[in-house]
Amino acid sequence: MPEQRIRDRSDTYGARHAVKTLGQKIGFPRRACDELAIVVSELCSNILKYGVHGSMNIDALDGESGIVIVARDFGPAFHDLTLALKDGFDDRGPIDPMNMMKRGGIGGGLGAIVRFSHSFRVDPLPDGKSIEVIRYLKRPLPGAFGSRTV
Amino acid sequence: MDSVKNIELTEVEQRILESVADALLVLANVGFGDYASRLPIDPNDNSPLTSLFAGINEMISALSAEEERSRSYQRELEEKLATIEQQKVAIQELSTPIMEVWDGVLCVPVVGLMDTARSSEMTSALLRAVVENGARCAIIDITGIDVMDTRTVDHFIRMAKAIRLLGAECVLTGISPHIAQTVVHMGLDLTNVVTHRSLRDALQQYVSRGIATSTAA
Repeated sequence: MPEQRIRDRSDTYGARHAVKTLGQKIGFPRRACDELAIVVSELCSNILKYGVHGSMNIDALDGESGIVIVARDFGPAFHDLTLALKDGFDDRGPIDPMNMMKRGGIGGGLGAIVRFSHSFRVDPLPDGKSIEVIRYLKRPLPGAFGSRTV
Repeated sequence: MDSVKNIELTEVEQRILESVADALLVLANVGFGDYASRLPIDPNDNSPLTSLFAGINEMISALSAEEERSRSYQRELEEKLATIEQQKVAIQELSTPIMEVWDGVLCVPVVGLMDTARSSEMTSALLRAVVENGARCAIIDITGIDVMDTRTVDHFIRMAKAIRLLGAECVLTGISPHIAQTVVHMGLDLTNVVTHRSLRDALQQYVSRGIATSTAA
């Protein structure tokens, strides 16, 4: 699928639609497509909030065994990824509840991405970073509720 | 040694030099954006210079037309961009419509995707609306939502509690079985969060209560 430019909030809608369409084509059930749309949405929000602007590629894995999403941005690297992945935290530490409303988020974006996918990987780029997220078609999500299936 | 000053120019060479000077002047004007100037042509003069000048004039006309076209495209583009900005604002407002369906009863029908950004926006908008309207009840209908990340569900419940703190009741309607499972598995505290199966049930309850209260008063 062609690379999507993520420069503006309205680009988010295009990317969400693209992943839902591809998901359906590959055979993900509707709920999984919605979850993938949330993954894309969270990645886009982060690009726009912290990465200034970026791009996204959404493709099927070999043999249509899943979907791989690669989000690139031109922002700074994660100061501490372990912290950033925690709900209620950003990459510097816990988010002050007083600031929560101003931020326009709830400190849960990366958490949501990780909970709705099988693999999450950050790589540095010369002028930014790249985040690769994979979700397999025939593997259950290791969610909070172990018996959940894809 | 011959210097240029000492060379005697013939009349023809003189004329050519003058014409070239004229041409350079006009071209300089064009370079500055003046597409109105043209080179003078004597229709009776069949010299190659005349053809050249005619060609240059045609080129200037073409450039002028092009420039006008480009300017009108620019204007059109600016108008379209302004429209897009307006529509963005409209979409933003429409995405979290908060309606006052009865005195003090707010209703928020949520459709589409509930990601963290949206849940944050909804919370801000709703809390503000509860305060501004002096609402005593906010009914949030999530019939259209089947998927929410656990952290987002948690935030939703916190939002309901915040609304409670503002003195209004918070009612959630249209919770799907999937989300109900998520909430239960998370072990969230649901005291003070009222739920109804459908928006209709909730409206029936709160609007009739509202009518009863106002007739009693």
